[in-house]
Amino acid sequence: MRSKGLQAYCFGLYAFLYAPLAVMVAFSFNTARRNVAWKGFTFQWYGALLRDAELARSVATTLELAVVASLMAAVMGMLAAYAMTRHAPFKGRGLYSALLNAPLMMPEIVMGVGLLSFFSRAGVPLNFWSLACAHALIALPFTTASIRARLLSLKESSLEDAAMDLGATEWEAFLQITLPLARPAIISGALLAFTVSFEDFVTSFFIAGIGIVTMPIKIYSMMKFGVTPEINALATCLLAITIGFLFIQRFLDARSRLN
Amino acid sequence: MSDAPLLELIGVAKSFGAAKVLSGINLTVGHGEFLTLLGPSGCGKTTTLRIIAGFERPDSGKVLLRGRDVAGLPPYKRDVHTVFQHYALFPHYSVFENVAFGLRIRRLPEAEIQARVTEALALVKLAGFADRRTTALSGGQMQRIALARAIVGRPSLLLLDEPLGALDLKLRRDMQLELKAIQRRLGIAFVYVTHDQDEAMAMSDRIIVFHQGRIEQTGTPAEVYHRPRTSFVADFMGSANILSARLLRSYEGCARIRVEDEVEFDLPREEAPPALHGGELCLAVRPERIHVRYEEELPLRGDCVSLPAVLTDTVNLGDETQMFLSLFKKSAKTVVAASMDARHQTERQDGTPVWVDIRWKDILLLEPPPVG
Repeated sequence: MRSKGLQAYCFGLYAFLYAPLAVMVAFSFNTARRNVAWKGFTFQWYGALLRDAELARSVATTLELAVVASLMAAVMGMLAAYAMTRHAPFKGRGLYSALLNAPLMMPEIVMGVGLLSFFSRAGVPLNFWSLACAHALIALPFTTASIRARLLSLKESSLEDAAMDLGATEWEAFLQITLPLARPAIISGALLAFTVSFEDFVTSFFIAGIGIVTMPIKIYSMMKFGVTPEINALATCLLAITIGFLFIQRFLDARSRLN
Repeated sequence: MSDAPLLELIGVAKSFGAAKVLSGINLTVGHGEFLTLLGPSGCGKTTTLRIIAGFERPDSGKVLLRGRDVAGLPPYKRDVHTVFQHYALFPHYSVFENVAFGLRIRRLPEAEIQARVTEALALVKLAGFADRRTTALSGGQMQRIALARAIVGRPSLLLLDEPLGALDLKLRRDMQLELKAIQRRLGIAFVYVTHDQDEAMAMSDRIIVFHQGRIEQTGTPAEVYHRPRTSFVADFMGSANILSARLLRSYEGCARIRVEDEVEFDLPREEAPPALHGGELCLAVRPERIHVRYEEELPLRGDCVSLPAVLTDTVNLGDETQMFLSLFKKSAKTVVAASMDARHQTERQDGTPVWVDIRWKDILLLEPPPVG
């Protein structure tokens, strides 16, 4: 029967997708040092994580980066989306919008190499701020898309027209109507940008200067000695955080569509 | 300056890309007047409204507000407010803050804002609603809030873009009367856009009929209805039988007309027929002005044209009976007559020969539609 076959296919697909995650989560609670056999339940690896100062520093760096990069991407995304939705169709708008989305399509390795050679040519020191700029660049398509969709639906409802009709200048209408009503989309876009920056490895690997160790880079270096239960525990934490973020983001998206 | 009309558009034209939306629009709005822009969708009436409001800039022509050209001014520099089609209430503000928006932008003192918003809400009969959220209101209530928000700043001109379009029929009728009453009471001039000719007839001091980016006719509701100038206006305002006709001869006070290249008769009339293109014109008769007479009945008394016809179909619509008549042998065109008379409600067999009586004054001679 058709549905039996489909069921089996779906089951197989989801097993393939999620079994590795399940194994990883399970082994993060395993007492054994090796990921081979189940010996018993423990929280010890989570404790070890907390005591690892180097790891803690890399997590802090990653969080700081993600906050700065998502703020930058949110501000730039708002400006870009406003330009694309509010102003009379300007010449090259299609190209502008395609270029904004390019980082989505571009292989990350190309971005990494490109940014590295650009920064070294331009004499920009490789530090926290140059890395933050790079992250903002990768995250920009996400914030722009989210805010743009919201601004388009706002435009449909003539709310800004109504504000200007009642005497508000374009700037006043932006501050009092557009910005508050676009806020859920801005936050939702910024959350996406946050996760993009948080988990970025390739770009960071290329342009992180000396002394800047983000968490993904730290995990990579830990893995050189094999996948330890600490790494499983760390990945499990990241998984939990990511799922939490996704929920918040979906919730905000739904709310921004409802109004 | 004070004798200038409140608003005057002179030769306004507008295109969007290759599409010409408006050409050569001239119109005036007097102080306190209720003017309706009427026409089918896509005829340019909403674009005209947006040009008056300042959301669109005309390609050419002048927009004079009290004699001053405002064509280049943004919306916030005109004391003209708009009631939008879908209300456009601010969802993140309460009813009170929605109405107060324009006053807060103008930084009026708080006490005055309180007083004026309260007054405006009372005027639209929503006095108790100040603290509600706008998202929880019905369509009719949102419409009233939108109206209160637009009039609270006491504009000299209010623009309304199909404001009742989203309401059901019963509520529409009530709101029409109420809007008209509010307009009279405030003495604010209204420019009202609609595609509903009944609404236009019920509310307006004057109607401007739009068609394909041009003004077809301007006049009071009675003028536009009873003396349409073009076949489009005759058909759009109520319904009309439109027939092709040719003016054969014109004597003093009398014209010989040939209809659908077949039926000829003399039509006495005082005014000259409209400007003609080689004698071609349009003849329009409203269905309710056609009297259908059975052979055994006496002709209509007075000045009328009597023509033989064949009854091809009868449709009963409750009070009204519609009769479809064939007057011509060569043309397949049928003429519709409508009657409230009970004697037409008894079934007559299709194919019954009848007489059609039309009073001279009910025969409208119109400009034919432009060719192409």
